[in-house]
Amino acid sequence: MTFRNWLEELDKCLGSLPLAERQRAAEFYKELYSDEKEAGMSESEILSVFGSPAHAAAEILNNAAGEYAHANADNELFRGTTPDGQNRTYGQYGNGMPEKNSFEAKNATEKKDGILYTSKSKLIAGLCAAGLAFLLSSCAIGIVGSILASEIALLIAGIILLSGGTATLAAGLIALGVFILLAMPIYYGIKYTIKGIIWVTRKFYTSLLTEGIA
Amino acid sequence: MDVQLKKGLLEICVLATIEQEESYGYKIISDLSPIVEISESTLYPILKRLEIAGALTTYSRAFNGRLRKYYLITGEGKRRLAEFKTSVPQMEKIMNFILRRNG
Repeated sequence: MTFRNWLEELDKCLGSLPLAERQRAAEFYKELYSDEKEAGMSESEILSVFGSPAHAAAEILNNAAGEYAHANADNELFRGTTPDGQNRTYGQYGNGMPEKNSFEAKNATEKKDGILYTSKSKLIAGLCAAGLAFLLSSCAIGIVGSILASEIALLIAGIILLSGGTATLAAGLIALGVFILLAMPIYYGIKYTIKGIIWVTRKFYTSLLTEGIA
Repeated sequence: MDVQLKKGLLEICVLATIEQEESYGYKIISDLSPIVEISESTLYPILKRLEIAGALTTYSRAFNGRLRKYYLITGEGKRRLAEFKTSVPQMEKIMNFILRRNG
């Protein structure tokens, strides 16, 4: 296995994490790989120190799930000495690690994957439920609000119409009164004026006829 | 060593390595390896946890034609470290008690 393959395998094992998180983990290992390469270690030695991608992924996923179930932390099979003579924790890959441990690490990853998926599903379901509840409550509030608003608007309109009608009636009565008050003198004025004209005219013609006969 | 105990101690160890000066992944492992067992796959989650907790901060700097990530301790990290240091005598008592009981 090359380092490139190792990174690809790590990425696969971290499949449940967001892309940014997977890239961040890959960058961390790339940097360590470069530093260890510059320190004189060979690719296989570095990969041996890194351990299997499944093991590395299990560590990252354990942390991502808020746990620290690193069951193999004290496993003798993970211990060893690097070529530079320092005590280091070794992984399975290229280190004669029995299948059992590799299987455990893989299972741990899958288990964590399960937990993460469950958490994600719960989160999505919770968000959907909250969204639905918000939508329904908004609709209910909207309906009740609109009914109340329309009722209030009708009430106000009724009051306005009633007051408007009363005002119109009052105005009509006042106008009628004013008309009557104004019309009566005019009527009698015209009536008596005509009567006066007729009386004066009659008188005039009567006097003319009387004087003519005389 | 107990996993939880080791987890806590490793976090403190990492903070202690960057207390005086900034450091990077490979150097942190090299500094800690003679003292405590720590692997690359163990260090990554520790650094991430400490960063999320605000105990350390990071920045990248060019080195040999590539970017290298450096880790710096924050005020929160210093506070944690100081808190641990003050609890050492008490831990020492606990250790002595356990060892006496088992001895």
